[in-house]
Amino acid sequence: MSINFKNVTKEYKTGSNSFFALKNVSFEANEGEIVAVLGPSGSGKSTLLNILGGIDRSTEGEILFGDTIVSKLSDKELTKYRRDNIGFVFQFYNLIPNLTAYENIEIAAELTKSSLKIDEVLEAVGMMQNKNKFPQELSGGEQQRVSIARAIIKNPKLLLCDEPTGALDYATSKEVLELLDKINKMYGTTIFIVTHNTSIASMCHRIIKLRSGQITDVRINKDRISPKEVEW
Amino acid sequence: MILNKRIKRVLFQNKTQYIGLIFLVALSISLYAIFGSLAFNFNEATSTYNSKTNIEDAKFLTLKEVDIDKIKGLYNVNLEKRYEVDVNFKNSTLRLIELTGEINKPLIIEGRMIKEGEIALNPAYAKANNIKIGDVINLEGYEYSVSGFVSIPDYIYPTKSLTDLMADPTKFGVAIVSSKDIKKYSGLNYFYSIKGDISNAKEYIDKEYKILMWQDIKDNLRFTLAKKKIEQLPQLAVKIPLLFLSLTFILLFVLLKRIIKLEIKEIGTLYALGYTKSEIQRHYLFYPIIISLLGTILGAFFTLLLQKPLTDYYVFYFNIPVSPNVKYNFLLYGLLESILILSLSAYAASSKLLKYSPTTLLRGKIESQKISKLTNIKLNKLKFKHKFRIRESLRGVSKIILLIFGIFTASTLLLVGFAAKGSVDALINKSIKDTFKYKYSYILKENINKNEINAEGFKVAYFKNEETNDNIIIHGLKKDTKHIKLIKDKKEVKVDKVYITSSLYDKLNKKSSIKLINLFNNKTIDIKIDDVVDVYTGNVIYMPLEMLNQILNEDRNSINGIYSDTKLNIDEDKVLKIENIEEILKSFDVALEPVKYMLIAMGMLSFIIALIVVYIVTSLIIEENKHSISLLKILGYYEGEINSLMLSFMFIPSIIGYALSIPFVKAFLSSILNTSLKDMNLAMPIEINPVYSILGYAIIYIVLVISKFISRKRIFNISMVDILKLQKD
Repeated sequence: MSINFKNVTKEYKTGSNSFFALKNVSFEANEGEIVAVLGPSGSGKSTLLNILGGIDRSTEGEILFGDTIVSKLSDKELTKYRRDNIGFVFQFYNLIPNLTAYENIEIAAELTKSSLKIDEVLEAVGMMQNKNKFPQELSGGEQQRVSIARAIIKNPKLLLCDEPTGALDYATSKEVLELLDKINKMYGTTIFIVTHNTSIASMCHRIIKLRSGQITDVRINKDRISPKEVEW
Repeated sequence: MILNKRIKRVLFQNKTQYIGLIFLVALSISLYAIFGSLAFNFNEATSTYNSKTNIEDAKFLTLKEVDIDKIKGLYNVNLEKRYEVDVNFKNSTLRLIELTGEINKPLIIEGRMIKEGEIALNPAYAKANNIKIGDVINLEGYEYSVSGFVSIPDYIYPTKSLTDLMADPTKFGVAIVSSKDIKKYSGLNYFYSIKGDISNAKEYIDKEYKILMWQDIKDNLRFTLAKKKIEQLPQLAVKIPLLFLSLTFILLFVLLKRIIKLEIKEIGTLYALGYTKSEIQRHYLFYPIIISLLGTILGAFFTLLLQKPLTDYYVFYFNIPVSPNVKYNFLLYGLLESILILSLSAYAASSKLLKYSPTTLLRGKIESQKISKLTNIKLNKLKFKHKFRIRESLRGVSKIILLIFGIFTASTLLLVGFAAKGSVDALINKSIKDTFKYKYSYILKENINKNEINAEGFKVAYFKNEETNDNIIIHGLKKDTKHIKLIKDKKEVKVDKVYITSSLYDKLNKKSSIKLINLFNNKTIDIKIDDVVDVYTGNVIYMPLEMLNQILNEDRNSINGIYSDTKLNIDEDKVLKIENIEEILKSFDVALEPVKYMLIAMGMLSFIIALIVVYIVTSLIIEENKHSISLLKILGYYEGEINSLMLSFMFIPSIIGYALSIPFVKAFLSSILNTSLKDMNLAMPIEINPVYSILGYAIIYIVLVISKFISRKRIFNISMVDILKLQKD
C-alpha cells in the first residue's frame, strides 16, 4: 500500500499562541519500503508518525494510504484503520506489565482473524524461550523484541517505529534493526523508522529529513546497506 | 505551610471522588447524630413521662372487689381503680378510660385537660379519624367536645387487646373522659392499678380477693414495645455509621495512596529541599481533617433536615411526646470520630511511601519489580479476554477488596430494609395466614360441652412458667383441626403431641419439659414438650383437647373457645374475647405502610453509596490504566471493547459483596431484633424474599452499568498522543 502525504499541516493552539508541528509536509513512499524519518528533537518526526498511524489528526492537508484518505476518516473508522493496517513499535516498548510476553502479543492477535501464529512470531523475534515471562523480567532488548512481535502479529501493512533503538545499547540496537529488516523481507511490510540516529538511515530505502516541522530533504537511498553493516 | 495551598487544588481536580467521600462522612455523622439524639430524647422523655404520669407497677383484676384503703394502710403501695368501656365510632373502637388522679395520670400533648362533657384522644387515632381539637363527637348517644390530645401511660402503644401485635389507629384508639361521664355507659370494665412495694401486697390480695389477672408493667406490650424499639437505637447509631466510616477509611486510603504514588518525585524534591517526613505527613493529614469538617457540615445539614421527620416516623405509633431537637454533642463526637478514623487512614496510606530515601523517590520507581505468586499464575488455557480480566483483577487486589466492601456496605443497607419487610411478611404468612385458618375465634367466659355447638371447639388455659414467671397459654385442639394448621419442617403435623411455638422455644431455649403453674388454681404441672412448630407469635403450647382437659381435670368434651368461618351470634356477656383474623392482617398492613417509604429511602441511599464506591473504583482503575488504555486504543481496540476488558471483572466482586451481605444482614437483624422481640413473645423468622434478593442485586447491577457507561466517556477522553508524549518526558 503506497503512502502519500499532501501538504499536511499540524498546528497546536494554546491560548493565543499557536505552534506548527508540521507545515505543508508532502512526500510519497512505496509499499514494502523501509523509510527513515530523521530530524532533531521537536522537528515533527513523531507527529508525522502519529498522524500516519491514525492516533493524531492533521489540521490541513491529505494523507492517503493506498486509496484510503486517512485524514477524512471518522474516529471509529480511524480505529478500524489502525486495527487492520498498522503496527506500532515505541522507544519505551509500552508492554502491559501484568501480562506475560505471550499475552502481550496475544492482545494484538485478538484484533484480527487473520493474525500470524504467535509461536511462529515469537520464534521469528527469538523470544520463544521467554514467552511466559513478565516484562519486568526481561531486558530492554528483549522487551523491544516482544514489542515488535506484538506489532507484526496482525500482519500489518504498515509498521511504524518511533525511536525503536532509543533506549537500547549498541549491540541490542543492531539486533533490533536486523529484526526489522528481516520482517520487511519476510512479510513485505512497509516500515517507517523515526530516529535521531542518522546512521540507521543507511539501511533504509527512502530517507525523509525534517526540521522545524518542514521537510528539508526526501531521497531514495541507492547505496542501501544491511543492518549488520550499520555503524555509529 | 505553603504546601497546604495545593490541597484545595487537589481536591478540586478530583472533586467527584472527594464529594463522594464527604457525602459518606456526612451520612455517617448524620445517622449517628439522628439516632443518638433520638435515643437520648426518648430516654429523657420516658423518664420525665414516667415520673409525671406516675406509671403503675402492675394492674390486676380480682374475683371479689378489693378494699383499697385497707390495702393502702397495710402495705406501702398506692392503689387506684379505673373504669373503661369500648364504644363504636365510625367503624372503629374507641376505648374510653376514666381520668385518674394518682396512678397512670394522662398527659396532655396538645390542647388542654378535659372537664365534664369533654374528651381527649390519642393523636394517632384522632388523625386517622380526622378529629380536631374543638370538634364535637357523639359516642353512642353522648356528645363530647374534644379538648385536646392525650398520652395514657399504660397505652403508649395503643393495641386493642394485650395480645395484639400491631396498633391500628384507623380501627382502635383510646381517650379519657371524666368519672361522671364514663359511668353513663353500661358494660363497664375495670382494673386496679398498683404502685409501690407490690410483692407482699400481691400475696395478700390473692389470698383475700383471689387474683384473676395480674400483669406487671414490664409484661405490658403497650408500655414496653416503645422501650424495646428505642433500645435498638444505640446499636443502629453506632453500627451503621461505623460501617460507612470504615468504607470511607478504605476509599480515602486508596485515593491518597494513589495521589502520593503520583507525587513521589515531587516528594523526593521536597526532601532534597530540606522538608522532613513529619512535615510532609502533616500535609497529607490535612485531607482527612478537611473531608471530616466538610462532611460534618453537610451531615449537620442532613441532621437538621431529617431529625424531625425521623423522630415523627419512629414515634408515630408511640403515644408519647418526644422532642425532635438535635443534640449537637453527637455531631461533635461524630466529627472527632471521623477525624480520628480518617487520619489513621491517611497515616496508613502515606507512612510507608514517605519512608523511602530522597534518591529512591526522585527515581520515581518505588514498587517492587518482583513478580508475586499471585501474578505468576498460569492462565494459558483460558481465552485472552478472560486472562486479561483475571490479570487485571490480581493486579488491583486492593481495589477488588474495596469494591467488595463497598458493594457489601450498600447491599447491607439495602437488604436490611428488604429483610425487615420480608421478615414481617414471613411472620404474617407463617404465623397468621398459614397457621390460623379460621376467620373468627371466640373465647368464652365459661366452659361448654363441644357437642352443644355446630362449630369447632377448643380449650384455652392460662399458666405461668414456674422458672421465669412468663405467662404461657395452652391451646387444646381437635387432633384433626381444620382451623389451626401446625407446620413443622414445611410439613403439616397433626395435633397428636405437645408442640410449642418457635417464639416460646426461643425464650425457653429447650424442648424437653417445662413446669407450669395454673393461674386459675395455682397448681403446678409438668408438661413434656415433643416438638417445636413454625409459629412465631405467642408463648403458646398446642396439645390435643383431651390431654388438656385431663391436665385440668375437666370433662374430655369441655371447651371454652370456638373457631368459625362466619360471625356467630353469641351473647356478648358470655364472650371474653373475639379475634378477627382479617382485622389483625389489616392492622399489619396499616402498621407496615410507613415501612414502604423507609424501603424506598434505603434503596435510594444504597444506590447512591454503591454509585460512589463503584465510581471511585472505576475512576481509579481508568486512571491507573491510562497508559494501557491508550495503548489498547493505539492497537485498534474500540472504546466498548476496552471498557469491557477493563471493567467487566467488577461484576464478580459485586456478586461476592452482595452475597456476603445476605448472611451478615440476617445475623445483624437477628441480633438487634430477636433480643428485644423475645420479651414481646415474638420470634421473627429473618428472611429475605428471593424476589427482593434479585431486586437488590438488580439495583447494584444498574449501578455497575451506569458506572461503566460513565467511564466509557472517560476512556474516550484518554488521548493516545498525550500518553506517549508523557512517557518520553
